[in-house]
Amino acid sequence: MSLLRLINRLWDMLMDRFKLREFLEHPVPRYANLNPLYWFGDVAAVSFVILVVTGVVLALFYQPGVEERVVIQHGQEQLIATKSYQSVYELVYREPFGFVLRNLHRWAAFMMVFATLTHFFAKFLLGAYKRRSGGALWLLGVLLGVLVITQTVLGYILVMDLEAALALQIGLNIFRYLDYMGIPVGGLAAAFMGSLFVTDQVISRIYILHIVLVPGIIAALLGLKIWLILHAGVSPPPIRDRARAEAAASATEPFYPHRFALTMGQFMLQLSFLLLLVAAFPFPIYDPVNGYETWYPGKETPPGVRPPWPVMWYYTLVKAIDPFIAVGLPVLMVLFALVVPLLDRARSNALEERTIWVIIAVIYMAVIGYGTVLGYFIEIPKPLTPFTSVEVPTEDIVPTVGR
Amino acid sequence: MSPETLAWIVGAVSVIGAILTYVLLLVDRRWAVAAGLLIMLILVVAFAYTASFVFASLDAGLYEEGIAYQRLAAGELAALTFIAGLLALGYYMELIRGGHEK
Repeated sequence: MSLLRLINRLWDMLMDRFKLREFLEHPVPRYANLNPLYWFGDVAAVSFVILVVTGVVLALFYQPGVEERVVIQHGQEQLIATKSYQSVYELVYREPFGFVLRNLHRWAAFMMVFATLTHFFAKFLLGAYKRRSGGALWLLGVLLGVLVITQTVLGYILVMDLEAALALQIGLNIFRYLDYMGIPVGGLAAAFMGSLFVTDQVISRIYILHIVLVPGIIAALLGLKIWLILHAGVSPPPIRDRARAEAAASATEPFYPHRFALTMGQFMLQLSFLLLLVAAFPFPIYDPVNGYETWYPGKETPPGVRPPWPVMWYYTLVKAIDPFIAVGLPVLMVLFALVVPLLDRARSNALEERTIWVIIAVIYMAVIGYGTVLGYFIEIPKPLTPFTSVEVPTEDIVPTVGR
Repeated sequence: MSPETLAWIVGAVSVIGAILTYVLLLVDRRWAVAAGLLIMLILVVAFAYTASFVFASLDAGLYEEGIAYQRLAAGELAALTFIAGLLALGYYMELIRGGHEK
C-alpha cells in the first residue's frame, strides 16, 4: 500500500515539475475524437514515428554506392549490382527480420503519404484555416505535405534497383532541364548534389537528405504544428449555426486518459494493419541495374516499370500533357494550396458558405487521384520523360551506374 | 513445423481470440482484458517459436524459407497489436460511457 502511495507521489511530482499536467489535462472536443475526418493527422504522425524507428535500424545496414560493381549469388543465378543494391539485398534476404523491417518501413511511408493527402483534403473541406492560428497551421501542413512526398521519393531511390535508378534519372533530368533553360534551381541542385548524373556522390547526398535533413525538418515542423494545435485547439466543426458550433466545441474530454487511450488504440491498429500488409503484400526488390546495357538516359523505359504511387499522378501528367506545363503544374498546385487561406473570403468555415471551395477541394484531389489511377492502368506511348531530349554533350554522359 | 501449418494454427487462434475479446468488451471490460492478454501471451510464444525458425533457416542458407517464416512472424505481430488496439479502444468506449472507476 505504501509502495502504491510512493508511486502516486512520484507521479504527482513528475506532473508538477515538468508541467505535464497542463498538457495531459488539455481539453479535446469530443467531436474531434469521434469524427474520422479528424483522425488522419494522427495517422500521419504515428506513421512518422514508425518510420523513424524502422529507419534508424535500416540505416545501420544500408551502404550508399553506385559506381563499384559487386556480384551477388542469388540461388543459382549471379547478379551484378551496385553496393547500394547489395546492402538492401543482404538486409532483406540474409538478416533476421530485415525483410519485415524493410517492408514495414515502405508500407509506413505509403501510409504516411496517404494519411497526409487525406488530412489535407479533410482540412480543406472543413475550412480549418478559418480560425485562430489556422493560416500558420495550414502553411505548416502544406510544407509538411511537400516534404513527406519528397522523403518518400528519396527513400525509394536508395534501393538502386532498376525502378529506383529510373526514378533518380528522371528527377535529375528535371534539374538538368531547368539548368539548360537557365533557371537557377538546376544549377543550385547541381552544386548541392555534386553532379546531375548518377554517381557515388549523388547517392551519398540523397542518403544524407533522406536520413538527416528532410526527416529533421519534418520533425521540427511537426513539433511546431503540435505546439500550435495545443495553443489554438482543433479545427471547429463546419456548422453555420453559432450556438450549435459552440455547444459542440464546449463538449470536451481531457487528453489523458480519453484521447490518449484512443491514440494508443489507433497506434496499435495502425501497426497491426501495416504488419498485415507486410505479411500479405510484401514488396519485391526488382532487378539490379546492370550498367549501361540495362538502361541509360534517353532509352525507352522497360515495359511495366512505374514510379511509386505518391508521384504516379505527376508521371501521368508528364507523359500525357505538354512537358512545359507538366514541370510547372506541381509547383503551381503547391503555390495555390499555400494561398488558399487568403483567397477563401467566406465569413465562417460552414460548408454552406464555402460551396465553391468545397468544389475546388474536390477538383484538387481529383487531379491527384485521377492521375494516380490512370498511371497504373494505361500505357501512354511516349518516352518516359521528354526531358531526355535535351542534348547533353556526349563526354558528360555518365552511364546510369558507372561503367 | 512448416510456415503454412503454423500460419493456419496461429490464424485460427488470432481470429477466435479477436472475436472473443470483442464480444467480451461488450459484456465486461475486465473479462475482455483477461482474455485479450491471454491470447496476446499465446501469440508472443508463437512469435518466439517462429523467430527461432527464422534464425535457423537463415543460418542454414534457406533464404526463401526464412522469408516465409518472417512473413508469418509479421502476421503474428499484426494479430497481437490488433488485440492490444481493441483493448485500448474498449477502454476509451468505457470512459465515454462513464463506466470507469464508478
